Amino acid sequence: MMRTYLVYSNEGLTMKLRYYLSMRLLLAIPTFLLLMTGVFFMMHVLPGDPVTIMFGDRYPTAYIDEIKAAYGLDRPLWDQYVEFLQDLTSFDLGISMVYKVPVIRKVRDVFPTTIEVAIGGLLLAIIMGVPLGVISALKRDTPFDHITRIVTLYLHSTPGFWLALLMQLALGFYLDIVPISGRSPPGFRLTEITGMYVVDSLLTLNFKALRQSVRYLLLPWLTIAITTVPYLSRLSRAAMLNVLGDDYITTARAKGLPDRVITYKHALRNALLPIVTSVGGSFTALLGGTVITEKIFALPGLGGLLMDALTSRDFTMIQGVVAIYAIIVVLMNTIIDIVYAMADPRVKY
Amino acid sequence: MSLLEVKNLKTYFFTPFGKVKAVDDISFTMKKGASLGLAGESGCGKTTTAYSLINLVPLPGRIIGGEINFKGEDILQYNDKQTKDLRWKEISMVFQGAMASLNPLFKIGNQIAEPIIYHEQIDKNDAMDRARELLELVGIEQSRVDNYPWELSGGMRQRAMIAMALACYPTLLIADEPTTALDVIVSAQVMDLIKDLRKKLDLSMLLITHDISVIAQTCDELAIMYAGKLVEKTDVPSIFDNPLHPYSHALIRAFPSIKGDKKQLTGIDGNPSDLIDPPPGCRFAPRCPFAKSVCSQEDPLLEEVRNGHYVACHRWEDIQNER
Amino acid sequence: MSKMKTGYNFVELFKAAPRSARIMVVIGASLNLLLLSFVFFGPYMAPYDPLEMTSETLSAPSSRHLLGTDNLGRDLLSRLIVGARYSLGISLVAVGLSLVVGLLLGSASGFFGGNLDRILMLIMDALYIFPSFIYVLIMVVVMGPGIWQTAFALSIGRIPYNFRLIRSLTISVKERGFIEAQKVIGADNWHIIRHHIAPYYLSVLFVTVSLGMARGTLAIAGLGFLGLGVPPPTPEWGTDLASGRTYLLSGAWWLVIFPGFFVLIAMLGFNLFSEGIDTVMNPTVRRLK
Repeated sequence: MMRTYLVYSNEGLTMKLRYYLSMRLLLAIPTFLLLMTGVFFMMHVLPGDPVTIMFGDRYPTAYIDEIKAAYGLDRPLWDQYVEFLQDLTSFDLGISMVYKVPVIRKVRDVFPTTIEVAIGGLLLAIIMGVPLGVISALKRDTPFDHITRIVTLYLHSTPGFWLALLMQLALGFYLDIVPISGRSPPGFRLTEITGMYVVDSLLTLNFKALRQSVRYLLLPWLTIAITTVPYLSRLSRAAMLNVLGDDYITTARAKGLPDRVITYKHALRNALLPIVTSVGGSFTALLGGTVITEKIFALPGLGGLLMDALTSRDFTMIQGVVAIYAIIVVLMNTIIDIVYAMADPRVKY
Repeated sequence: MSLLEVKNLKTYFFTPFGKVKAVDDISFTMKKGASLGLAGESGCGKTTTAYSLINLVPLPGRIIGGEINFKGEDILQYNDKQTKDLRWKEISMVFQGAMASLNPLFKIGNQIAEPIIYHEQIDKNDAMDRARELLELVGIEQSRVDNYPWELSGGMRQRAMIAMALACYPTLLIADEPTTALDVIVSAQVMDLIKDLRKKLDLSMLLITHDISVIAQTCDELAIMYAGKLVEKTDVPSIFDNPLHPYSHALIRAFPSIKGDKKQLTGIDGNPSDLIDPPPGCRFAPRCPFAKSVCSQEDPLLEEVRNGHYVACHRWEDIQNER
Repeated sequence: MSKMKTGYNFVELFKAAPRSARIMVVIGASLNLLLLSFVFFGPYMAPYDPLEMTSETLSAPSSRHLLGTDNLGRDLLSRLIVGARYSLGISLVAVGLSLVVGLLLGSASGFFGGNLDRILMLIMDALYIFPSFIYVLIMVVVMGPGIWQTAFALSIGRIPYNFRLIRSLTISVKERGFIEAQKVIGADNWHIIRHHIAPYYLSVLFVTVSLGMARGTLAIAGLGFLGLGVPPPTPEWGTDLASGRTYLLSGAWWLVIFPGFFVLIAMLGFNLFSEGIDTVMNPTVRRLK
């Protein structure tokens, strides 16, 4: 069977791709800056600051003001902003006001957990949701389609954290199939390379650790997946139906090609494009949900760090965590765009 | 023996608004090597007829009656596999609107070679070789085999579609409005190409169009449809010299001609007939200037009135005499 | 595209829609009305005072307390009914706010284009790709818990989506020739807006509001679950769910099941309604292939 993915010469492809990549990343920077600016102003404009929170009721105002000055919080807002931007360009996320260590260090500890949970959940959602949607489209208006629609509507309306609690209760507590919370059992041994347990255990061929860490991630992944599947399946179904109505499908049928060729080579391949885009869209919401998921399953990720930072009004930490989230989101969207560009020969950059 | 014999074909569309009788009992034959043009206004059923021939009528349509005998066998009775074998190898189609009819994600070489690979036991490279030859045949440089459809101009795309349709050297080629989306010059080039290929490859062709001047240039025979019915069929010179059915007459008069006297272009009064609930009797009667009472009572049958000249009209003789 | 009649007749559209869509609209609307009645008349509908503490703590559902009581002996059913005011009410305010802003900015951006459009698009794109829950979270914490603060934060979270929607709608309406055509035949602006522009917006609006309510309710419950949002002892579905969790292992399953269930019903109502109304108001989506 003919595959037409990328039949340029190797050279031509890589150059094109690299160019596109750099263009996309370049465009991502203003977005990132905008977000960071937003967070900065949001925190400085709205009432409340870390010093007052920490010491407000214990020390006299004059003393508070001195501390604030020491942190540079009394300077004109614009100056603070400029310094903030300057720091960003040198990848300096500052020092945590509460922990007194560089923000980067604290972030580095927890960031792999969030990635592992989010990406794993996303992959699971894709594996479950996209085929479901595609098959629904192929079997349109059959009982399968109707039942799928009803079930996904129901799942879509189920609050994720509630589902997580119920699963925790049923599968973790009563049936004791999976652990209730945490990332790893006591006595867990693993050489960390990336910080992601699943990845590292694969890299070091530590299958015991792999099994253990997957067990702990199962419920979080399921929670994320189940809440994302309805969206993905719906979009996949719509994309597939759309494509199935296109004229080139009629041509393919008129050619007397086998059904599976028509479905996979012609229809699915084209439907994959909008599906890829929708995966990017679903990731954003998914990432927001990880905050709650991490809390429920006691996973030490960015969400926990954020919550702590918020409670203690640790400005630099808040900014740092938001920066990381922003980077994750922008990177993910860029990857999705690149995947799309690779799949659609019409995209020229 | 005729190549294609359509007998009492009925294809209806079952919609929420009712049964649309798109093709309502039509019959005609085609000999091998013939070129038949099927003409009529939009919605008269000509495209549906074409799709019925390869059993590809889109839902909610369905062929509900009649026979289509191709090379002696009724292809409506074919099972899935037989139908798939028949498609493209024996009967292939050139679609209107090449841009939408070609898959944008695959190169045209791939798309041309595709049916070859699946219908004949030929390997990829040989199939691509043939694809290149076919491109040359239709006047496209062979290097274009690695282009995507959107990289070609409109005329080139249509020619690529023709190349694709010829890939398995079919016996019958159906062309559905091949020139409608093209400008006049390119249109002429494409039609010349088709004429040329027909001769070279001894193709039988069914050309569907609303533009009878195109048929006049390229086909030997012409059949005219109206509201799901076949109203007249004969060879091209006869119909232009002496159209027997009032609709054919009006249709021909509605097209301008460079030669001959300057004449007034006349349209046809009235609206196309309702295909869900057609009036009793002749479908054209409400618009026919020659209609008499019998016309709105009895449906006229298609009869051979002269050698090879078929017409479906109660009053064709009277009308002839009046003229 | 749409074969819209001038003189937008909802009743006819509804009758012409497929049965599944009609059912969805009816069920969805009923659920929504029920819940909205809780929002406005909750205190009168609740059997007990949601804040009233009794000695019957942690009692399972019974004939006296249909959904059981919490650790302070408060009737759960009453708490959940009154809780709708916050879980849904705040969402309502947020959706309304974001709708107004989204409409204004989106139509302005789409209609005028140019630099205004570019700047707004840049800002909205940045907000759109970032998880809204996170910056809502930050805003709520920084501003402090409270009804209006939460509503405000939530509306900000919703604006980018509404903006995009209205903007693309405005652009597509603007580009369609028929606006010019109407002007040519001398129709006055008001007529144009009422018969030719409003129908498109209306169908989109219904769906957006409905979906917005669903997501808003979920977000508020999520905030409540995290301990943000309205402060105790005010009843709110998410907060109650969180506090109920603590007593889960002592066997008080009702404290977790029912609050979440209320959220589910709310979401179901809004989702059903939006899906149904979408099909009803966009009849050309039906395909005959």
